[in-house]
Amino acid sequence: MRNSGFIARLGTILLFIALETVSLLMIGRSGVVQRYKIAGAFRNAQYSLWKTGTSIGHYFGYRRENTLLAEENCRLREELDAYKAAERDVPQTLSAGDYTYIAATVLKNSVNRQDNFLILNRGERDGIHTGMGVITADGVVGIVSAVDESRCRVVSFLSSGQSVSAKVSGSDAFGTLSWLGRSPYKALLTEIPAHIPVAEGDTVTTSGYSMIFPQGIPLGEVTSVSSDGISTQARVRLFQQFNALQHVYIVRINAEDEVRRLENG
Amino acid sequence: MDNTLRYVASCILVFLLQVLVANHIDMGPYIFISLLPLILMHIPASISDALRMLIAFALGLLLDIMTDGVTGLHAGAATALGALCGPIYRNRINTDWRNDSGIPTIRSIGPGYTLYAIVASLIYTSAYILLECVTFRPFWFILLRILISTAVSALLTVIIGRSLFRGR
Repeated sequence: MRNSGFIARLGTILLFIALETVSLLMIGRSGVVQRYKIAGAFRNAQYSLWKTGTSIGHYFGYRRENTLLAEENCRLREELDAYKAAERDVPQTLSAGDYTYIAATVLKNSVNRQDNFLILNRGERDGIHTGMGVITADGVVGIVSAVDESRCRVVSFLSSGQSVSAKVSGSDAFGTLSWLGRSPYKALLTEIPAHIPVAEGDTVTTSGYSMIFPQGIPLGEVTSVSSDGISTQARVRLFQQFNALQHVYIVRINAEDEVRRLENG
Repeated sequence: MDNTLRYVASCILVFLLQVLVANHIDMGPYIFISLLPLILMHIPASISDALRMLIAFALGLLLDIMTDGVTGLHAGAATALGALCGPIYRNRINTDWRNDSGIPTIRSIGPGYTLYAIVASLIYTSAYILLECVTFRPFWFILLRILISTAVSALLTVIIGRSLFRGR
């Protein structure tokens, strides 16, 4: 009994909608202005539906999109390095074009220990081996310390004993940048000769004199300077957001074997 | 039988008044005279809402065809009134409708007839004017047109209704 009443009411509502739709169609056909307005309203409703559908589709494609963007970044970084190398007047042992970048995703990360590490989704099958540097656009991340078939472990820059050969931009003198051991944003640049001017606000970059990291990767900004007359120490605020790492680049030296032979004499 | 004939004749007369007289009276852009609500108000209460809507749609469409204007406006407005006036009549205007002969008249409705006429005119006029000119006329123009048209149409509805649908 109740169902039949509900069905009758539903039928009345549907009939109302049908009759009004027919009226609107007649109005749309008959009136120029109304046709324009009705067509516009239908178009807007259609676009809203399409936009929602596209957004949902895009959401499910973001992971693949991110992977593609990371790979594209690698290629662009290599191209940029090649251009920079071509612009240099004085060839160096390792010019910027001698590096290849392999995009990787961070599977695990730590920032609150004295010796922090990361696990990346690249391993031996991707050509990764121990001793390779890991960077992002914001700076150095660490050095690969262990590798298996599909993953690798990276000793983070935020670890005791880790350091990076660094220099103040605009100067060729290089020193050592190491983590202060407390905040993930603070490091200390040491062993800069005292006669080299260092000021607050100067940018610190990789020197390129290590076998691991290319030259010119921004590391941080000088926040304070002190000198003992022989060498200068500078406190540096790191650019790298260690607690937000998702996509990184593993650095492979293309002429690594040759450079190693030269090193070993 | 007499009552039925009288009722049908009254409806036809009102329809002709709308087509031949009201549609040709130009009282400015704010006044739109609609007498079709008078017919729809007097559809017997015992008729189902679905049938009432179909009758309203048919009458509105007929009016559209016989009127020089945008086809579908009267049909759309009449359908809206047809959907609402049955429930309004049964639940608010005359809750004792089951004891009447069926055709709402002034006698059966009583003092609520004027209110019924105003509500019916308001629904029909609002639907018609909104379908005609919403989104490309200023809001104040539409509001003023609805209010003034409702007042004029309701007044005419009451006057004509008291003459033709008095009841015995």
